[in-house]
Amino acid sequence: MSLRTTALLLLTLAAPSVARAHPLHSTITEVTEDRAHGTVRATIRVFADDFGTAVSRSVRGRALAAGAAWDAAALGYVNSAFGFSDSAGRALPLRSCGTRRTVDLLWICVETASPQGLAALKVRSAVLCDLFDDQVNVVQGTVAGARRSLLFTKGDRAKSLS
Amino acid sequence: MSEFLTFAQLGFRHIVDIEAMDHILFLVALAAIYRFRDLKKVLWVITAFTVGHSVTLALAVTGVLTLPSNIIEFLIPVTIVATGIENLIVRNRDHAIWGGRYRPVFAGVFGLVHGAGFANYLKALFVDRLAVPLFGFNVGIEAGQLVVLAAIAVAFTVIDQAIGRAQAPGASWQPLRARIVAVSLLVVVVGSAWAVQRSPW
Repeated sequence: MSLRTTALLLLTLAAPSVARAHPLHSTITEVTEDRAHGTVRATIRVFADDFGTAVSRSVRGRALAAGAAWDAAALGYVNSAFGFSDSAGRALPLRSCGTRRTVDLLWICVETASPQGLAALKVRSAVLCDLFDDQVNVVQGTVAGARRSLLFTKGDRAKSLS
Repeated sequence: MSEFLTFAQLGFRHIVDIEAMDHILFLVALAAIYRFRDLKKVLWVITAFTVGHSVTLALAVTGVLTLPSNIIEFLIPVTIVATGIENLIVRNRDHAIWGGRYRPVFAGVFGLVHGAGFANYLKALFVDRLAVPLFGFNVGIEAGQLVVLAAIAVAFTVIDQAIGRAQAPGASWQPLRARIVAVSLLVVVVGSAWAVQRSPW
C-alpha cells in the first residue's frame, strides 16, 4: 500500500470521528433550605440548548410555543429527572419557582415542602442523562453547617446530602 | 463527599472519557518520542502542559480572559498536528535548537490552548464559589492525564516489541524511529481532519 493510499485511508477513518469539541456534559444544582417556610429549593444550572433538546424529546418532538406550554413541559421534564424523596422513599411534589437565562445557561428553580429541612431528604438528579451517556450532575448544599456535594451519573439512585 | 473530591471526579471523568480524544491525542503526540528511560523528560513536558492549561483555565473561568470558542476549538487540533510534525522533522534532538530542550516550552504554550478549551464550558457553570471547584477539577484533570499517559506507555511498549520482532536482522532503521513516524503520521492525519472540520473559516 502506497503512502498516499495509507494517508487517504487514515483520513477517511478520521473524518467521521469526534471532530466536534469535547463538551462538558454536566449540570450543577445548588440546594438550599428555608426552615422558616418549611421549604427546600433547588436551582439547577443547565446548558440551555441541551435542556431544550431534552424537553423537546420528552414531548416526542411536539412543537411547543414559548410560554405556558413550554414551562409546563419543562417542569414535567424536571419532575421526571430530578427530585427529592422523604425518609420513607416517597417522591415529594415539585413546583416551579422560576427560570432565568444567562448567556448559554438556564437557571431552573424548583422547590418542595419539607418541614424537617434538607437533612431529612434524599435527592436524585438524572437531568440530561437520557440525552448523554457521559452526563455528570453535581448537587451541592449546606447541611448542618457543612458544605456537601453529590455526584450523579446515569442510573444513580437518590442520595442523601447529610 | 467533599466539594473538592466531587469536582476532582468531574475533571477525571472529563479527561478519561472517549469523547476527550482531542486531548488524549495531544498527549499521544507529546509522548510519542519518549521511552521509559526518558521519564524525567516526560515529566518536564507534562508539567509544562499542566501549568499552561491551568493558567488559561483559571484566567478564563474567573473572567479575566475571554476567548472565542470557535478559534480555540480549531487551535486544539492544530497543536496536535504541530506536535506530530515536530516529532517527524526533528530526527536528532541533541542537535536541535537548545539541545532539544525547548519541548517543555512548546508543551506549555500548547497547554494554554487546551486549557482554554476546558474553560469555555466551565466558566458557564462555575459562576460562584470558584476556588475549590476549579482546583478540584484541575487536580482531576491531572490525575486523568497520568492514567492516560500510563496507558500510552503500555501501548508504546507493546508497539516497540512488535516492531523489534518484525525488524529483519541487520536492518538499518531504528525501532524507536519507526514508532515515532507511525504514531506521528497517524496523529497528524487525524489532527488535520479535525482542524479542517472545526475550521471557523
